[in-house]
Amino acid sequence: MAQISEESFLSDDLLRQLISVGSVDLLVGIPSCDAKDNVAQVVKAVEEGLLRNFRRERIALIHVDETSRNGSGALQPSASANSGIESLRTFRWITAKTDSTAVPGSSLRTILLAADLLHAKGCAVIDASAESSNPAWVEALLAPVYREQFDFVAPLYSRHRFDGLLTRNLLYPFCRTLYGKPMRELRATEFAFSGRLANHCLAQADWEHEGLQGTPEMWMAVTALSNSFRCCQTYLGPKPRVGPSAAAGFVDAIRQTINGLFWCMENTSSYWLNGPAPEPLRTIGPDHQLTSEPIRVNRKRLFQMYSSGVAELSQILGTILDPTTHQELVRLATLDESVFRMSDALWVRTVYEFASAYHRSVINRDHLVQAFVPIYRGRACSFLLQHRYSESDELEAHIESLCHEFEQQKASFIERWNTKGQGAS
Amino acid sequence: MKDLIVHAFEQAHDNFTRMLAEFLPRFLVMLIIIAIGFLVAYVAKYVFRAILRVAKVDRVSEQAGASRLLRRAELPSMSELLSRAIFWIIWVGFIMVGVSVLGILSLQIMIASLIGLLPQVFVAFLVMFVGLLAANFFSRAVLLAGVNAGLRSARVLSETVRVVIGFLAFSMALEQISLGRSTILVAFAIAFGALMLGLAIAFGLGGRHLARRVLEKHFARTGDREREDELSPL
Repeated sequence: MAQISEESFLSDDLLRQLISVGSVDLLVGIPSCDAKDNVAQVVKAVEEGLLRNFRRERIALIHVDETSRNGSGALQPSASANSGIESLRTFRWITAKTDSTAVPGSSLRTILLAADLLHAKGCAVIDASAESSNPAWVEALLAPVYREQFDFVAPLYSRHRFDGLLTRNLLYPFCRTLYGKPMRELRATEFAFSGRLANHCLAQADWEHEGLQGTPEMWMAVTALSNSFRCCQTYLGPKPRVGPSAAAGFVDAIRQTINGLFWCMENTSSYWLNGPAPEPLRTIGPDHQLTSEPIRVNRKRLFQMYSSGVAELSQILGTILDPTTHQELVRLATLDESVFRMSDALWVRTVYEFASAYHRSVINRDHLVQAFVPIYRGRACSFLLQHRYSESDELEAHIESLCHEFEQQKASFIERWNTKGQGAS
Repeated sequence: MKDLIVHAFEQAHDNFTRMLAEFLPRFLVMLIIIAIGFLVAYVAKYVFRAILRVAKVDRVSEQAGASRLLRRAELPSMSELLSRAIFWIIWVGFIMVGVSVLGILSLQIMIASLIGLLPQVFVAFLVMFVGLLAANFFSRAVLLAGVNAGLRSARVLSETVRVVIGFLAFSMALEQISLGRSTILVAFAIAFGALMLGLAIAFGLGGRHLARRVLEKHFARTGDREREDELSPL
C-alpha cells in the first residue's frame, strides 16, 4: 500500500474519487496530452475490449489529462454512449489532471497510485494518442497480468522497417545485453503491469529524479527487468507512424531517451554488473513485424548533420571518447555520403564510451547526451544506406549481429565502468 | 678636537650597537614567525588538499569545465590549485605579521593597505573564475543546441557567448578592485553596444533572407521540417 506521503501527491478530488470506487480487479489508465481528437476513439476501443473480455471483473478507467495548451479536458463515459459499458459488473470512471512539465512522470505515478489504492490486480496503460488502438489491445495487455500472473507486459508492434531506429540500434540490444532479456520496445506508450510491480515502483525514491523526466515507462520496464519480475511481450498490431508535430522534438526525444537509458543503467548497475544470465522473454501472439511501404527519408541531411556535428563538437567528443574512437568518427565524417558506413563495432564502442563517460560525469550530463545526437544521426544514415534494398529478414539478421557485438564488447565496457576515476584516456 | 672626533665615533658606535641590539631580536622573531608560518602553511596545504580530494572537487571541476580551462592555461588541477592558494594565503599572512614586528612605520602602512586590498583581490579572482566557468558552460550549451538544430553559425554564436560573458566577468573583476573603473565601464558599454548594433544591422539587412527563414522555421510549418522528420527514432 502506498504511504501517506504518496497520497499527498494526489489531489483531494482524485482521492475522493478513488475512495468512492473502493476496490477493483483491473484498471485501465489513459494518459493524454494534446490528443483531444483521439481520446474518444481510445476510450471507445478500451470499453469494447473490456466488454468482450472482462465482463465479470470489477473495472475502473482513469483518464489522466496532462496540463497542456490544448488540454484534452476531462472526458466522460458519455463520449461512448450506447457502448453497453453499463453491462459490466462494475465500471467506474475516474478523471485526474497532472502537470508533467512540473513533476516528471506524474501521469504514470498517478496511475500507479490509483492502481495501488484500488488494489488493482492488473493495470494497462494506453496512450490517448494511439491512433491504431483497438479492442484487442485490452485483452492482449491485461490477460497476461490478470490470468497468467505476469508482472510486466511490453508491447510488440508491426512497424515500418526504418521506424524506431534508436530503439532497434540502441535500446533493444543494449537492454538485452545488460539485463539478459530481449525486450523489443523498452520505451513503449502501451504496456501493462501487476499490482505487485506498481507497489514496488511506488516504493522507489526515484520519482523526483530528473532522469525520469520523459521516460518513466522505460524506467518501469527496466525496474521490472532488473528486479526479477515476470515479464513478457504481447503483439498489438501496427504502430502508427508519428506525424510531423510529434516528430518536431526529435532532439528532445533523443535527449530524453538517452538520458533516461543511461540513468536507468547507472541506477541498476549492481544488477547487470553481476552478469545476469540471458533468458528468453515469452512472446504472446505473433512476433514483431517489419513493413516496407514507401517512406521519404532525407539521408543527405542526416549525413550532413553528422559531418558538421562531429567537426563542430570535436573538442567535446574528444573529452568523452577514446582518441581512436574519436579519430575514426572524424575520418568517417570526411567521407562521401555514398560510401559512408558506421560499422557495428564502432557504433557499439561509441555507445559504451558515452555510457562510461556519463557514469564518470566527465562533462555536464545533459551536454554529454546532447553530444550523442550527431552520432545517432550518423548511425541512422549508415543503417539506412546499408539497408536501402534489404528485406526484413536481412535487417533482422543485422540487428541480431549487432546484439552479439554489444555482448562481445560488454567485458571491456564493464572494465571501463569500474575504473571510475579515470577520464577519457 | 681629537677628543671630539673620538667622542662622536664612540656615540655613533653606541647608537649602532643599541639599534642592532634592538633590531636583531626583532629580526630573529620575524624569521621565526616566517618559519613557523611556512610550517603551518605547509601542513594546512596538505590537510586542505586531502579534504578537497575526499570532497571530489576535481570531479566537480571537470564537470563544470573548469579543469579544461586550467589545463589550457597549463595550471595544475583544481584541488592542487586551491591547496596552493591556501598555502600562500597563510604564509603571506605570517610574513606580514613577522614584518610588522620590525616596527618600521612606512612598511607597516604599506602592509596595512595591502591587507586591506586582499579581500577585494580575492573577490575579483573569484568573480573572474566563476565568470570563466559560466562562459565555458553557456558557450558549450549554445554550441550543442546550435549544432543539433543544424545552424551553420553554431560555433560563431558559441564563441560570441563565451567572449561576451568572459568580457563581462573581466570588467566586473576590474570593477571590484577599482582599477580603471570609468574606462572599463565605457569600454564595456561601447563594445557591447557595438556588438549588438552590428548583429542587428547584419541580421536585419545583410541576412534578411536568413531572418525570414528562421522566423518561418519557428512560426510556420514548412515542408522542410516535415521532410526532415518523417523518420521516428523511437
